[in-house]
Amino acid sequence: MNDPRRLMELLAPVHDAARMTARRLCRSHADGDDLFHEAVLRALGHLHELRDASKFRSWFYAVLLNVHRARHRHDFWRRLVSFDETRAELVVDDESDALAGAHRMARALATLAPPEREAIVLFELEGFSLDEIAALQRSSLSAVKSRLVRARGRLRRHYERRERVTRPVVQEQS
Amino acid sequence: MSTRNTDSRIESDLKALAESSARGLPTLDQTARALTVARTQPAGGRIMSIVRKPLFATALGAAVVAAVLVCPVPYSRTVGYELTVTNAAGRVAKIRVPAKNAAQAERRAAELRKHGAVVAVAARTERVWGSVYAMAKDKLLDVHVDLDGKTDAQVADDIRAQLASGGWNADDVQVQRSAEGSTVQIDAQDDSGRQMKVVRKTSGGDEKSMDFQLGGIDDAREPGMTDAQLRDKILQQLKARGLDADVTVDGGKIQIRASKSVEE
Repeated sequence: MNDPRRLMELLAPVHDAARMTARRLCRSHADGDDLFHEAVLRALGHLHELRDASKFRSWFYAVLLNVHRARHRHDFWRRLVSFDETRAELVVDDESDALAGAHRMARALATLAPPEREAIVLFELEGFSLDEIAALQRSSLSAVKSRLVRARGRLRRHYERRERVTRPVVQEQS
Repeated sequence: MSTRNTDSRIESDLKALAESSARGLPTLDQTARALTVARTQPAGGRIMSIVRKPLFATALGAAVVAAVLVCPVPYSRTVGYELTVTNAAGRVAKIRVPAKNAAQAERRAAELRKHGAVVAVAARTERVWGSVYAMAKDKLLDVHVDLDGKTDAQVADDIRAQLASGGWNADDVQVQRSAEGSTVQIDAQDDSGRQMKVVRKTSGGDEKSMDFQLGGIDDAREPGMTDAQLRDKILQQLKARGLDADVTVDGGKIQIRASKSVEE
């Protein structure tokens, strides 16, 4: 039975972590919260399919990743047909280095393909094992490993490109 | 930057992202309330669930595109530019430039100015009937600025000149570039007093040139046209350009807010 109270009970232990994951997968907190809400709604609709409550965490994360991929697939149509959704940048409300770094990383992650972004976020920030990520992404272990290497390489190139652009400006000022 | 430095920067930025995503995190109760609210709006949810299915989204998108592209509407389009050249002796000559791009006309004008002439650039227009897509494409003012070796003030001057060629007097053009990205703010008005305020933000500091399109919205009211019909006419043009828009028409007052999100 799809009972919201049961869903909230199951969600309680993983709520904060999953919400943060959703935010890290998106360019803004608003987008991340929207993704999370959609995943919760989807989870409620499919709660009867959850056979073993002890596996709720991985089941819910799989739902979250499915919603994340689906939203990305629809980006093209969203540009053409307005669903009154505007994408906001991660809000940086002060000039601290940490927030600037967070902003930089959110932008860098947005350049990755969704499976690569998910792999980086789940492995580097959420502490999932390679086996767990493989199960969540329905991929082989070797596919996840090469996805992580590829994503790392892309992040590195993104940072190096930005650094090359920054360097002449610094020289001009000195 | 060495690979080790890059990697350590990536590590610290990942950590910063992890910390920032914990800020102001909604509680489980707030999630429960949001779920309750979402479930009390079944109609909207059902529509969105249909819309979010790829097949239906494709069909809906195709239907909207077809409607937007096929319906013919009257509009005036730029067919070229006229340069009014005044030499040192006061003699005036007019040169017709077939270019539809204001930047090309402005470049031609700049060449003539090098020889001491005073050159005014004006757009030549004609009234035609065509599809909304054709209208949106025709009426756009293409702004192209090479950024190489130019200061922000020089870029602003370049934009101002191209706007002037397209019939817009730019009251204020501000350009700010940094390694994080660029921001361009434009306040302009045309000869009939229509005002345009544009804010363009891009992230990433590796722009070699700046290309964007401005104006181009035909907001002329045809005889017998109601506020709602005029609003639809404007909305169709904005949608044809892939913009999310909010348009209000109240008699002679028209307000357009449009935005476009593009991934890096």
